[in-house]
Amino acid sequence: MRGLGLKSLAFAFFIAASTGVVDAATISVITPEKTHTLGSAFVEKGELWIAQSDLKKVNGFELKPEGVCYKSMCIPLPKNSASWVKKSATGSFFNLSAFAKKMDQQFVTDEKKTVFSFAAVPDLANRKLPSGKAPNFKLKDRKGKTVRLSDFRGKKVLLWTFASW
Amino acid sequence: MINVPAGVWIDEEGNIVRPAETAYSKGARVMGQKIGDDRYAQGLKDWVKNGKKSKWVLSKDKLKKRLALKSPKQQQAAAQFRLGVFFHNKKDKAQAQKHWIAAQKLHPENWNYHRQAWSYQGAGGQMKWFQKVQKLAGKPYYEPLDAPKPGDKKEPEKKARPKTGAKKKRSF
Repeated sequence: MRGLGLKSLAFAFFIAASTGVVDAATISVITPEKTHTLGSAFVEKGELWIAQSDLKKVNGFELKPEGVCYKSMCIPLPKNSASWVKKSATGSFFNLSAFAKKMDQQFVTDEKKTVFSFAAVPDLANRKLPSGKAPNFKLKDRKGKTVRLSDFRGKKVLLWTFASW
Repeated sequence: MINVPAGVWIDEEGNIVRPAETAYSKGARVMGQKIGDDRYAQGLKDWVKNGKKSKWVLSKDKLKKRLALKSPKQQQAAAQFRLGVFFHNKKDKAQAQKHWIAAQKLHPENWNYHRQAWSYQGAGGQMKWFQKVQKLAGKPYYEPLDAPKPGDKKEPEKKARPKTGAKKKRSF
């Protein structure tokens, strides 16, 4: 029985390899804001497909009838929508690599294609530029208390990094 | 931010007034390099006293230019660097080093990426970084301070064009 199990695994891996599908146990997606560990993602022919339900948390976009949208900005699906969206027995998936290429969003990956690191989506980054708003980051102080930039609203702030030497 | 000290000025409404820049309180020379600028502390005091009227407050155009997205190669470099940090946190030194080197090659002007070599090149890392600095041959390591010149008046803000309400469409 144990031998049969190993043969099945080897056969499944052979099929996966020949179809160009990398079905890693987990795939990590790194963005400038956060690192996400996605259990439902897969790589097919070098392209990263993520669960549609993960799209918003990864880059803020979501699928709507108008297309792939971030607030009022919507990118229509291509005529060949199957190149971006596909459904399987396990759920609906979205081609994050193809979307990134359309948006001129730079990304790189490790050689095993289990970790994808994305730069900012240019259109989104450029929308934030005119405001020059500082992100409301948070850090812990020396007593372990969480401090946010917004805690200092109403005061001028010098954010100063230094070292003791 | 390259090295410390570095500073960012943020106003009472949470807006960036001056993005990250070298923030020594006075100028000095270290290893043949000029670092810091006596005017920084003076400028900071001027902003604290005068707020939006301070000549040290960058115009929206200058701010936009300094906060603008980098070139595609530089963005790839940043993505490679984050990949290196990911593997460093996973204790995979070989992969971390590979991606940090890739970041250096994509964006050779970024000293943060070269300084990262200290963590993977061990005792020789600092010396290799210093050798790269010496190749500057007098060119600045840090960006020179963008300080107002004596006699400069506060730049008037350009009035923004009113929005027409038309949505920007993208098509294939």
